[in-house]
Amino acid sequence: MNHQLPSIASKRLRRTRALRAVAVVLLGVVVTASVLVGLTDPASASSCSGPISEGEIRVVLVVDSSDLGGSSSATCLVVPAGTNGLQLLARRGTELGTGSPRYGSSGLLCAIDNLPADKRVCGEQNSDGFSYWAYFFDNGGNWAYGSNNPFSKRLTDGAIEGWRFVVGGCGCGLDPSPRIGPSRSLFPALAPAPGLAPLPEPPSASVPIPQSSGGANLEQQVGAAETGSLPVTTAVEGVVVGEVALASSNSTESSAGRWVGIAVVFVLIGVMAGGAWVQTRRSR
Amino acid sequence: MTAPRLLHPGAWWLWAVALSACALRTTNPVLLCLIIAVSGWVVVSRRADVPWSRSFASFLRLGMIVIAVRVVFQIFFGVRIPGTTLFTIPEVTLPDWAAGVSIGGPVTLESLMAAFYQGLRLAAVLACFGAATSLCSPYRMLRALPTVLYEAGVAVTIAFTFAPQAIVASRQVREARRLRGRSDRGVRAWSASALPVLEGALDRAVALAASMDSRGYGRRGSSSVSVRRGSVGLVLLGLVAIAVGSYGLLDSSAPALFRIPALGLGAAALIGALVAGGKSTMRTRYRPDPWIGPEWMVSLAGVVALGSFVLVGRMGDALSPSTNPLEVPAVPFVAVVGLLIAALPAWLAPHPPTLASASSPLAVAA
Repeated sequence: MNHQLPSIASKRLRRTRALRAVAVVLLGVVVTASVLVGLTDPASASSCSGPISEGEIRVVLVVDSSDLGGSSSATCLVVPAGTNGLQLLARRGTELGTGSPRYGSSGLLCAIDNLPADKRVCGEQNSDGFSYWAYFFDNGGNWAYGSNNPFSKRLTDGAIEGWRFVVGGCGCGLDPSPRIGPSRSLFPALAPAPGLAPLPEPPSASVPIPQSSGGANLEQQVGAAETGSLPVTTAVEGVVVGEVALASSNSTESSAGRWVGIAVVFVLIGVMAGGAWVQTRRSR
Repeated sequence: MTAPRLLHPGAWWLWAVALSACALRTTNPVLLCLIIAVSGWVVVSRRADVPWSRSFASFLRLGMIVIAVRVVFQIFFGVRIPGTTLFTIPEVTLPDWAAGVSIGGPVTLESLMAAFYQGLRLAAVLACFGAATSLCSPYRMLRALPTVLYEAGVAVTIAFTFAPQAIVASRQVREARRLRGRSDRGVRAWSASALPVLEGALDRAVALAASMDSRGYGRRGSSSVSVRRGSVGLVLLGLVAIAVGSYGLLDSSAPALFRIPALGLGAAALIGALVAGGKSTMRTRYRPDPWIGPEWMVSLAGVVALGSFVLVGRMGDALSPSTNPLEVPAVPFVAVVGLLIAALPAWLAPHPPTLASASSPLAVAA
């Protein structure tokens, strides 16, 4: 059991090792802290009604959070070509100041515009079915259920994307679509509306489009929604249609208090680790 | 202060299981670090001087490997969600039927932090398991099992002792290599010693099973075939139901049927097996481990910590800090207090007997 190396050398070795471990831990804490502190979102200005430059596209993003107490809105955005569905969603949050969308650790979209507000909720399944943010894209003037990853979806000029919070859905193409239909009129009239000719299919359009019965169902619902009294009004700049629920997107809680708590806990951990190290050394 | 003695292994295991259930309920890195620190502190304060008591460090190392593997997998195969891009690795375009899988692409800080939190959670669970392994003797654990459970208990004990045995074996193999003048560090030494270590650990486990068999473990006694089959069937049913129920309790998204009802069914089946099987077999126990004050306090400390986590989970979202958008994790006061209570066994449990104070080394080991 006892394989004593020369004791001075081993003691020095042990001390170096312990120091190294402490240095690694400290480095990790500092890096994490600096990373958490230095988070800023770059914002860029762009106008959907003006002319767009080379390498940019105009797309409309419809978000329907009516079932969560929010509203339906359509936002026209100018983004770089090749932007994907999730980047578009993040861009919308930055432009409207509603905060960035929240994702679960599995990559599932939990909340848009901080709805649902409870951070523990992320795509729930109960006896009614699934409650989640469903993804849709424009397929020739009708919503088609997006069954592929929005990340792998590269947007083209004139594309219309939609998100609707579905309560008690089946998690399939039969789930209700956003209450605002994917119509060309969502693009501001100041600039020539792109894609007046038959829309070019999006690159990843080879996804399974919902079967005929589902399609008919969707169409009906979209039609019913459009004839209903929805707050679809063109805003001043033609950028935002409808109203966007400006929920308390930024946590009002100051992060300084949290840092104090974290510091206290890590002091506790340091005391325990130091005590454990001393005890181990004494027992050897 | 009570006289030095070994705490009942069931108390340590209850404490460790409660602590690991705390870890499974949260991804808050601050709380997870505190769980690891608490388990390490208790281990260092109350471990006996036996071969397997040094296994905690190995479990910590294993936890670091788990974190590294989790982060590396996230970098290469993780779901791509927008965020602060740190760097980009070449992206492989997959055909449409594999649209759910992504290889390569931008690596965001948010995804790395989410992977780190999850890896840290698993590392904390491993630390709790390592604490229980270092704190109590696997042989004593088997001795404490009720009569009917011996057959299942032998299998469970071999499974539980494999890790500590492997650690003992690896130390011996490394020692042997050093005595032969070879290096005991680096990848080559590690790969060369992997086979003898596994072999040695399995040998020890089999030897343990043989010695238990020779001491009458798993013997049928004079019970009839039907009673024996009935009780064994009940034990199997009970263990499976308890496994399902504990899974349901730990995974908050499991259906409600898999939680309390499954646990209740399992407990009822086990009690039935105890009643049915306990009548027929007569077994005496030499110097049984007592379950008295310190045992109650140690297991209660773990249960209080778990209760504080359940309470915090009901009250707010501090247990699962958002990683996208990245936020500074909140430190829930109640959970911290609960974990500090879970550290109390470092003082509440009696000191383990040292080799000098015990009459013979076997009294410590066996």
